[in-house]
Amino acid sequence: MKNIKALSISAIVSIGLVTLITFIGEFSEAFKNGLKAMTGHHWVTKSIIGMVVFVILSIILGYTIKPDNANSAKYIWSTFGVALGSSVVLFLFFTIHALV
Amino acid sequence: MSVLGILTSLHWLVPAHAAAGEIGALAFLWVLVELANRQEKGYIRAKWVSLGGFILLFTSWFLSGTYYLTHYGNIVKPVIKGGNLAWAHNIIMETKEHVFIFIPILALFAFLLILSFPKWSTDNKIPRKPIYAICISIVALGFGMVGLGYIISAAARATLGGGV
Repeated sequence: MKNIKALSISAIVSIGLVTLITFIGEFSEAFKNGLKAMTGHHWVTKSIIGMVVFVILSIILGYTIKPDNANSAKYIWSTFGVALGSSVVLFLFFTIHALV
Repeated sequence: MSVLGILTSLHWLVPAHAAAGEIGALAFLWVLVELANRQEKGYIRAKWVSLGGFILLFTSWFLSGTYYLTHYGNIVKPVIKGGNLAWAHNIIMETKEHVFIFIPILALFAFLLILSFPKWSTDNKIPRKPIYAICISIVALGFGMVGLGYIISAAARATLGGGV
């Protein structure tokens, strides 16, 4: 068994970061324009950031943190929770943002 | 028509991105079944199918991004936002385009998880339930994207007065 802890943390950070920069971009036009300036569109930049952070962090953490195989289930459940939670939070955020 | 022309053609982009996304999501349903069967050959299939699922979902991400940049933002978005159904963009499309980013990440995560275990049998301590949950979330989010896409295209047609 390889480093499930490193994989899970990387996925959690990556998904959390995409959610966070989406929120910041909605409140700060300058920040959103900065994301747009990197690739031509803010969505493309967020997508690349998400995937690149996941891959690079998985490699770095895979070598730098000790595997915790006894708690693999906990880490995978946490990733599932963050993905599902971030999806629900984004929906609620855009709903409130559109209505208020 | 050149290959680039075909790839950026609206008539190809919309069905191609949806097909790649749906087949990619279904691949993780297949993976779930293979893992639940707990057969060694099934585990080998699950590894390849999850890799294929990731590639398809990544392809879907690329094609939908191309569609979003070449057609949606310039043509469809102004139509929807200019009508009475602006919420279809402001809520549905905004949610769709951002949650969509998670799906290839989750698919790669699932593939690497499956690849991390030496074998899928009853005699080792593999956390099955959370891996099933990850596979189910990929399937649910993948098909959720289809549903949200339907709402958005219906809103565009309704705004244009097509009556469909």
